[in-house]
Amino acid sequence: MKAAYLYNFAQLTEWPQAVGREGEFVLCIAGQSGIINAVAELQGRGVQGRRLRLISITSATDAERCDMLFVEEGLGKRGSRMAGALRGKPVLTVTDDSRLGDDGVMLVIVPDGRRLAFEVNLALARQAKIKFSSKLLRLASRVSDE
Amino acid sequence: MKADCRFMCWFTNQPIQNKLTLINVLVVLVALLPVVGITLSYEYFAIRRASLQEAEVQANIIRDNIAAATAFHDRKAAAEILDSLGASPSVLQAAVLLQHDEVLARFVRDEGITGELEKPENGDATYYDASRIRVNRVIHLGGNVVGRLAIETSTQPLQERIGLYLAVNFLSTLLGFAIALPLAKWLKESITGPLQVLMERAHHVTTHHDYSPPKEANASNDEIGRLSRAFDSMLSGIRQRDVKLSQMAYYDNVTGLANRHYFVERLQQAVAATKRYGTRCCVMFIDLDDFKAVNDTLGHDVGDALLREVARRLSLVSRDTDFVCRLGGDEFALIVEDIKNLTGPAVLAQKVISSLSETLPVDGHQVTVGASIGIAACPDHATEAAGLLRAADIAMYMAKEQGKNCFRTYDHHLTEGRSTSP
Repeated sequence: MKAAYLYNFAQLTEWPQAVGREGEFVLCIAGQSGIINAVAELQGRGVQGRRLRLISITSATDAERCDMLFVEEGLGKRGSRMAGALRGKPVLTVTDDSRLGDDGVMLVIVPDGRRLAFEVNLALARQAKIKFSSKLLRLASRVSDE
Repeated sequence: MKADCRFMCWFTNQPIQNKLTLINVLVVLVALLPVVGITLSYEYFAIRRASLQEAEVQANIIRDNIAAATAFHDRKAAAEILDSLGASPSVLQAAVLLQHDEVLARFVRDEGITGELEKPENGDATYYDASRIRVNRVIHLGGNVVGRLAIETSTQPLQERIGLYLAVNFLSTLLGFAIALPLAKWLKESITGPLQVLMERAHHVTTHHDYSPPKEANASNDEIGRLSRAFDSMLSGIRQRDVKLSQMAYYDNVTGLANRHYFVERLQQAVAATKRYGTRCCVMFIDLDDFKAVNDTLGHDVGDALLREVARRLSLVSRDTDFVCRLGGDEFALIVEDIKNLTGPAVLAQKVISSLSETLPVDGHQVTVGASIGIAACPDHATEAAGLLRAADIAMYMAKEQGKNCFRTYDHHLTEGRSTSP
């Protein structure tokens, strides 16, 4: 489910043009093998005309190569460090750890009954010159713009 | 054959007015039907295409808007987007299905709508039947299939527009007829009016045997005008022929006087008049003396000229009311009507004898003939035309016997004398 969400986020987001490697869309995963396995099926699929490539990272320094970074719940301080390091950089940051929301992650996936909802930090994305599709914003359960 | 004939026979027997009306109506129908048919079918296809396009565009917009909600399985957002179809009155129902045919959201305008929305197959498609248009669309997000959309639209607006179009067509056809009707009437009258006049005249001619010329001639130069003039000239031909025939029937062609036939008719009228009004009339038989000799010695031409001269003189000495005729050969006759006694006729007879005893200049010859005259009066000597004729004849022969160039009035003793003398 989360993997599908990640993929849909990637489809509905616009990166500044200067950034982005030719031909590849790099999705970085910081987390356990469980989520990596779940996301693995996305490997090779198309995102906005580029092929999706999956990379598992463990440190903030690796994160700069990413177009998109998913920080899994339970990484604690390491997660917030990674997010902090990417502040202002054109990397779409996503987490399912609600505690990381205030720590500079743009999209936060939260459980909403049987399905998943998500919250958007618009100010952070604007800093990084990342734009969300209005369709995505409409679906968000909360949009903060501070 | 009989069935084939039925319509044509009926048509042939119709008055021209009805034929023209029928032809007018047929022509208008024949001209209008293809026009109405073609424009109607064109309009139908155009409207149907527009309706299909409208339904497809609507489906495409919904598909694009609902893609994200479908991708995130957001039922609430998807339902909101589908509900926006409520603004489009022709949409009956719509549904978004996820993979595995799970319904994400559904829109139904009216709970009473029967017929479940069919499960859309994979792929974009548009179906339509008489009452419904169904558009199936695959929902993509970034090149991946996230679900399927089906929208069912009513064709009622299409039918309404076709109905309106038909009504407008019908009304304009009625209007056309309303305008064409007085025009057709005027046309009919301009053609059949003169025909009617002509027909009435022909009828008048046949029933009244009145061949007199028309009071006013048809001046137009079309076929009917020419027919009318041909009819008039035919009438005038009949009139001329009638004059000629009556001339032949009633007049002698040598002298131009009335002939024996006419004489008998007039005598009968004269006798009838004496009975009716109690008046008197007399008849004179005039026989030229020695006419045969002139004819034999100087020829028939001179004989005829002599007869004409005699006729001229008879006409000169008689009154206008006296009836002069040539009975044939050298016999002439006079009918004198409305007389008081027999003195007048005697004077007239004497005048005739003196006039004819003169030497007559005929074709450069000087011819002398005399005349013997017999006089008989009605009702004095006979009360019937035949008896009167016989009496005049007898009197005339008496005059001849008594030395010619004289006249005798009938006396029944003459008959006895004649019959007794050898």
